Amino acid sequence: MAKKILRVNMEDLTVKEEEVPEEYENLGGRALTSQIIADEVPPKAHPLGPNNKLVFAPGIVTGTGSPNSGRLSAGGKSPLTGGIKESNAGTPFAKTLAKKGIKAIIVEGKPENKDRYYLLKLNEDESDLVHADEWVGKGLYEAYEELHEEFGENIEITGAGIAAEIGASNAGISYTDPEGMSSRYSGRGGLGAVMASKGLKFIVAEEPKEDRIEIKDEETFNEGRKKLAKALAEHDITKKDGALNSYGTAVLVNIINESGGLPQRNFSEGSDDRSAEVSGEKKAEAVQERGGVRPHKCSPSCIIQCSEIWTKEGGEDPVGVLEYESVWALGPNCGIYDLDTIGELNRACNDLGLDTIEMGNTIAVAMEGGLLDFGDGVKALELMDEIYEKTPLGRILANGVEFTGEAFGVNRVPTVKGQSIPAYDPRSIKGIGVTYATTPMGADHTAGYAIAPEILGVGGDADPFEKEKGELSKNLQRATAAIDSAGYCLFIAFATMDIDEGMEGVVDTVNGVLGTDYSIEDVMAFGANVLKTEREFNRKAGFSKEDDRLPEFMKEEKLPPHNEVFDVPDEELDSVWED
Amino acid sequence: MSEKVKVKLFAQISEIAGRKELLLEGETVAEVIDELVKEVPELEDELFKEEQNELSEDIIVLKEGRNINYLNGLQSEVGKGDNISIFPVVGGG
Ligand code: SF4
Repeated sequence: MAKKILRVNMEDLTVKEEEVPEEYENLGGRALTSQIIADEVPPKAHPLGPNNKLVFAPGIVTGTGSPNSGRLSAGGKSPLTGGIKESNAGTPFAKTLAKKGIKAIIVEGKPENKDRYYLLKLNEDESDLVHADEWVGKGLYEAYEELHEEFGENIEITGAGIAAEIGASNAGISYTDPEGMSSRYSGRGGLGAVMASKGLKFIVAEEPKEDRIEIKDEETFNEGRKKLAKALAEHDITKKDGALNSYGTAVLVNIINESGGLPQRNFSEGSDDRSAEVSGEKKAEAVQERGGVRPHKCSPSCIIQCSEIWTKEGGEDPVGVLEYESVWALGPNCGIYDLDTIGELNRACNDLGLDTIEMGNTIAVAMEGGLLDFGDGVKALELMDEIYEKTPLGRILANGVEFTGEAFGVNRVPTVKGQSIPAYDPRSIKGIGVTYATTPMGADHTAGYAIAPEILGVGGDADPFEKEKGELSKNLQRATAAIDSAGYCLFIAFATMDIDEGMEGVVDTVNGVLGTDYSIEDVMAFGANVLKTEREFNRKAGFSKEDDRLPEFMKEEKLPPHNEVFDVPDEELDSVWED
Repeated sequence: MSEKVKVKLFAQISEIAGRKELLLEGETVAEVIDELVKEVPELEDELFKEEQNELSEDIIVLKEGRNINYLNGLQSEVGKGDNISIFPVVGGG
């Protein structure tokens, strides 16, 4: 049965099914969300105005059962960056959409009454919009429990939280994890605020009885699936009992800290011995002692299983996973070296609907601005209450790092294109800085993960101090755009960068689903095309290459312990966009 | 005269060794690692390729926060108070 696009009009409250236009047929995930935004959203549209749109699209292979294929892209014009945004998450919601035969959901318009909220219910054969006002002002953990009570256990949920209700630029979109909790996120770039601006509070999707996944060439697909599974089972990072499976993403805390690249106290130093207190190793031990869950998968079909369920002591009150980025942002970057405090801050972010990276950086900037002291976890948690209560201070903080930096007169503001820098300081690891500077997304490590060759020795070796990183970042950004479109979790790349068969598996599975004949080179060209579309949108929205730069302080202030500045020349940054 | 350096072990390497930190002597990284293997023989297979004296590709060794591949490899000199950090291949993001 042919796939469809659901167009949800929030002005006249209608949901229409559309045929998939031919030019979208071979797109999925990021390629599709970015193309629809480029085609349908005026680049100068206000991100929270009626002309912006929000698009959800599962990847090309999502729902097929190929390993680690449970990814979903959300796209729109970002209130945080003012540019195009694709924010990718692993959630069972992704496969539910794919199995329903939904290629994309496009949410557009705005209801006349801006205080009304709706829930989009995707049933077996039809969809409707019902009132959702009773959940306004409620935390997402509780809301998801109630939604399960109301609509049954066999559903997946997407939601916008309290932060989104106040139009906050740091409001993410939350999704259910396999336990039904609000712990999976399209966190970055404020797309939650776009969702709420349209009066859309939740999407609730029932698991379909009839599976509408289409695989055009089963044989090629199955061969590819096996090759990929084999590569993942072999590589030291992705295999069972390997680094990700044993310790989760926070296994990086120690190595990045030892390398002098783990930003401390708002990017003022690159390492601190206390970081070991919040390492992946420590966390895995604590999860086991407490009776949490580890390893765990964020979505069905994952065989790496980097995730976990963090709880309070005694195994009470599950939070969900504490990712490396979240642990760093809410921890060492705020001078906080205590997993319980970090866990509670992460819980508040999941509950309010906030991106943890942006929130941690915001607290750190507020600390620098004198609102609270570095290391004061109690006060940091109180700040989260300001957001629950929607106070003026809470509204400032929920708008992210730049807004908060301006409000408190701070000039060490770690952002690119308005989005805050994640957990690797580009002064001591320069290739990742090239990605932060040049990706159309604003500072984003996942857009071209140069850390793999620079620190982890995966996908080649590159000296982190070496400045010639344009080519490296360009190739990684292209490959990543392709993986984000295919619907694979980016962590497969650890294996596919080192094991050729794994990469073949990715291409074969995509070819199997689409009935195409792409080569690896075609896939890179596909990725390059996605980037081009995104950059062109940004250009029309007002960005130029002068925006492809890191913040000034990173060129001026040396980062201990290596005492490096970011000294990659501008021409090297611009080379990312040369063919 | 050789001086004490701090050797830190991480993730599975530290689990195999049953400890996280040792103080060892040596003037080069190679000498320090020799001492380490004497002290913790279980690590030999983890750290070296089958034919001796070449580090396994599955190991990352940092001296003062710099991968020794970008210094002088195993012959990188170490001084008093230096830190050497040893990791298995790890990943995340
Ligand atoms: S490796 Fe981790 S992030 Fe990727 S699909 Fe599995 S659990 Fe999710």
